[in-house]
Amino acid sequence: MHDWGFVIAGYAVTAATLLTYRWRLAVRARRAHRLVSALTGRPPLGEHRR
Amino acid sequence: MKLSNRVLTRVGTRGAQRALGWATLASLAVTVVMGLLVVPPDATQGDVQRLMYVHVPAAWLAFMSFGTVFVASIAYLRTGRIQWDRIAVASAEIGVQFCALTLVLGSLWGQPVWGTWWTWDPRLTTTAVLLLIYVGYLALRRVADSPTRRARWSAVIGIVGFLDVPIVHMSVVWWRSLHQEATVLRPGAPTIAGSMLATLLLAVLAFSLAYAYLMVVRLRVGRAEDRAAGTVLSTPTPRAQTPARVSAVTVTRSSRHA
Amino acid sequence: MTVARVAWTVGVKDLRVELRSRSTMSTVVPFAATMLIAFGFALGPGRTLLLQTAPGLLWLAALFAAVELFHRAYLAESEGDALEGLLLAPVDKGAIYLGKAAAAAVQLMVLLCITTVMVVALFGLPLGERPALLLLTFVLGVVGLTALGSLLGLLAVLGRTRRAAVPVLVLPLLSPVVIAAIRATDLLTRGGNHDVGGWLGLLAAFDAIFLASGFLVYGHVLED
Repeated sequence: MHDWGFVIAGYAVTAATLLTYRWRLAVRARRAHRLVSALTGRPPLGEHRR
Repeated sequence: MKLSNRVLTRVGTRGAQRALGWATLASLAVTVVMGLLVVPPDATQGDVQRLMYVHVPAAWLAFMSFGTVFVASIAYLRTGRIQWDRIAVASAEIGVQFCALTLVLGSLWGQPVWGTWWTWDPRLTTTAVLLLIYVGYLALRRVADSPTRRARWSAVIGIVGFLDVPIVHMSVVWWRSLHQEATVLRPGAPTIAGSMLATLLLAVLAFSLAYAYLMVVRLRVGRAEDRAAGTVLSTPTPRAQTPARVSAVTVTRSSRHA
Repeated sequence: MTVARVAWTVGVKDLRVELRSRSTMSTVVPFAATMLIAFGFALGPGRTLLLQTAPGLLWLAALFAAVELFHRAYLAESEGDALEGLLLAPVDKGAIYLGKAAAAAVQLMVLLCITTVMVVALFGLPLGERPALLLLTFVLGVVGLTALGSLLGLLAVLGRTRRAAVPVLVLPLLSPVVIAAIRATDLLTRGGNHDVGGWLGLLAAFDAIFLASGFLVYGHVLED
């Protein structure tokens, strides 16, 4: 039973790493698109498609 | 180059990206179910051994990522095409994620099995050095002042760093063998049950899909960030911009077509 | 001009600059000495512990001082805008690398010898019965450190933010040299007939690989 704690923690860390990285990429993409649209006045790329 | 470009544009469409994302998620979910519920526990290690199904693929993918950095770095220095630099940095970033994950998982595995979070095992030590090299690679990219300089420097480090890996490993193996402590239990026992092997292969496939998916997304982000940086440079400062806003827009538009 | 002649010219030029100004040695040697004293403080005055760790401390002091040395090897170039000259010189850039590396290696060798004298004096490290092999270890180790050091040192003076990332990269990349050199030195100074062939072979392989790759990629870092 003690062992399961480590196993669950390991799988949780894996999921957290992948999800956090994906989320950070989404934030970076949004920030880049916003920067372009703020500078050029064009609507943000990708946002009108949602 | 042409083939890789064609593959990249095909893979880079939003639909394909989304499909890849779902495939990744599904295969990871199946891996979790198999690894945690279906496969029997290891005879000697018990349930802790279930960590292998995430630890081994993470390590393998980390190594693959850095191999990609190596190849892309050579290709960049030979051709000078910025796509190769984008591939290199995307792969390095993802590789650092996997490499850090490998170390954490190894620690979580080591604590119940070896009774310690860290041992100076050759593989552990090599992985730690590997992580440091590529953290340095990313740090170097952050301080470079021009895109071409950044690409060229980091390509050099991408090549030198990967060439270093086998030598690091060899030196650490010999260094350890000189003062051998109690024999440590090796991850990946020589005899491995069929269902365990199947799960491990599935896990490697799932992690490879995750790598491919993150690469596609990261390349897209890289292009967007490069475009943003280019727009910052080509757009006049706000004060200069106010009288002739339109011209700024046309400048960036035309520079995008060029 | 042939590669050898260019390398010779660049190397001799660097050494002449150093001989006239002594700017590198005057900072790097006291730095290494300070570090040895600090190691002594950290480990306490117990003779056995100091003796056991002496080979490691010797190479670590040399390594940290070497980072400064590699930086300084390019500082003079960048301050006088002499890098532009190197950039525009119609010679093989790899040859410039070999010349700069050779000059840095000579200086590092001097530094290492001085550090060794200090370690022998402070920690009582015996030099063993095989001085030729020990010298070979020093030479191979120094060449390994400079092969990568002269490449990374160039990164430290180019660009706006300068040397921020270089120390982060130096230690992990040079870890095989550090391990092999320390182990070989340890075995040789311990007395007895330990086999150090493997370690020396590893050092030689490292030297060959990174001298070759430095020679090949140097032009890509230098050109701008």
